[in-house]
Amino acid sequence: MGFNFLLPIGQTVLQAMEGAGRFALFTVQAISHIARPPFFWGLFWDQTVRIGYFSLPVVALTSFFTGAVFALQIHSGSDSFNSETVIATIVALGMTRELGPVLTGLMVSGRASAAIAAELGSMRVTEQIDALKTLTTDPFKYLIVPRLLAATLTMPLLVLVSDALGIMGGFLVGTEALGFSAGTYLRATADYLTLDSITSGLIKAAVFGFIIAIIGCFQGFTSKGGAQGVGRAATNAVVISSILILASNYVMTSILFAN
Amino acid sequence: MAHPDEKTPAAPPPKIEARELYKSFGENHVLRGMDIKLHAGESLVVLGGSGSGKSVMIKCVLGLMTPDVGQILINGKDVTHRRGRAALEARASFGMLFQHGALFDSLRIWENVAFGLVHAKGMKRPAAREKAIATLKDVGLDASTADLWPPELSGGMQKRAALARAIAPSPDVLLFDEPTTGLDPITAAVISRLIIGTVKRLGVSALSITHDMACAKTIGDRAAMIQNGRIVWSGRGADLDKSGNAYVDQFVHGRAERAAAQ
Repeated sequence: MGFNFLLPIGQTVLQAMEGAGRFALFTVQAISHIARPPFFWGLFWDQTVRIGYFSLPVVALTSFFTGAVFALQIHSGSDSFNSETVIATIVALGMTRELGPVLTGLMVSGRASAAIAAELGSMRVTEQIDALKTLTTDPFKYLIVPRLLAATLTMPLLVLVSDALGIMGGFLVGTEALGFSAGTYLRATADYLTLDSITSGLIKAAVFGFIIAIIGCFQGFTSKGGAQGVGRAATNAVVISSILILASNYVMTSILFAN
Repeated sequence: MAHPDEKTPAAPPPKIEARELYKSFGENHVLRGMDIKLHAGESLVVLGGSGSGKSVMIKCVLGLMTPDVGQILINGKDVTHRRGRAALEARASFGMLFQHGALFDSLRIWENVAFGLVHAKGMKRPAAREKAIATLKDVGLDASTADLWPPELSGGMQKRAALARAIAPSPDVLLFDEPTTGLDPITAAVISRLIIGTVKRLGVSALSITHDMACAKTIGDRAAMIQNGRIVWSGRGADLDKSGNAYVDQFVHGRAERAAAQ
């Protein structure tokens, strides 16, 4: 009787654990379908265009201006001695290792994860997912696998673009606003930019792509409650995938750059 | 007359048989011992009020839900606990018309109709398109609707397109979930006649759930009334008006007073 206040806490914990269990099962089921035919290559290509190609403008603009602002901030916060090399190095390493993958992940999460959740959620509440089953088509193969593969494979390509444009933003600020020598700036970038830095960012990007798609798919696939439920699924997809991107980024950085 | 010792050929099993189905959602006990049999060539209509368990019953039959207790038999085979691909294949001979059509928004009308032909039957797209357009004509839709998107059609036309999608792969059994919901009385009557005409023309079995009496009388050879998750009356569709069951009478005449649970 005196412990009634524990009831809502217990219920919340149980609900969270049930949700985590359902998500784990959903993820295992999705992964198991990737390896088994049939494959819907047309849908994969369609999703690649929607998730990857249509995200290019927002990713390009975000990265370019972040690289540019990054260069300005480093310049204002450092002494002028050798700042040409320092700025080039920090912009290159910062963009390829952290800012490129994380910013791209957050941008694509806002666009694609919400769109996936809204689309699948709408299909769920209008019985289109049930209709797929009655037409002998597995919704995991038709809806989940193409989105999962498209997001996981296109994110590294988007991050490559993000890296290049971020470095370009820093270069333009350095050479046009701060008066650095273009040759020195580019040489410093090339000297310090290692293949490891680039590949670590691409590995992160692939993981972020998987997170964006699986969260969007899960939220949409399991949504209920009509239009309100679809809206909630889209919001949850963005919030959860953004948090997971930031948390998994820390874990991957600590693993990839452990000395 | 056959000699008593002479063996008669065994009657074919029902197309669909649901035995003693129970299904609950928490404390909400929706199905409480539901029994249904759909025989080859008949059109069975299950009537019932909102929340009586009709939709849950049809979802169990379709494999979209698993009953807590009971069996689902299709052509005499127990498919109750089949999962994934096996569950889909067990229902491959079914065609389903959903309450609101459930046409795929991302596909044109002909692609919706051809979906089962392309993905389940492996038909090439050009041939599937031809068959889809022919099927659209069968349900009274002009070929010019083939390249439209679902939201460009009226409610009645969407129902026709959804019916075309259900019958295109040549199913043995058609299932209808509230086929006249959301339609005006004239369109509802047209859709009801189209449904029974299609069922008889194709020679398939049909299981429908509805609370529309006019629709039930038009499309049902046999009718069953569901109340509180179980069948409380069944008989010929033509006998709905003289069932002798208080709840059926109340339902048929649309009276508001509460009939005692049978």
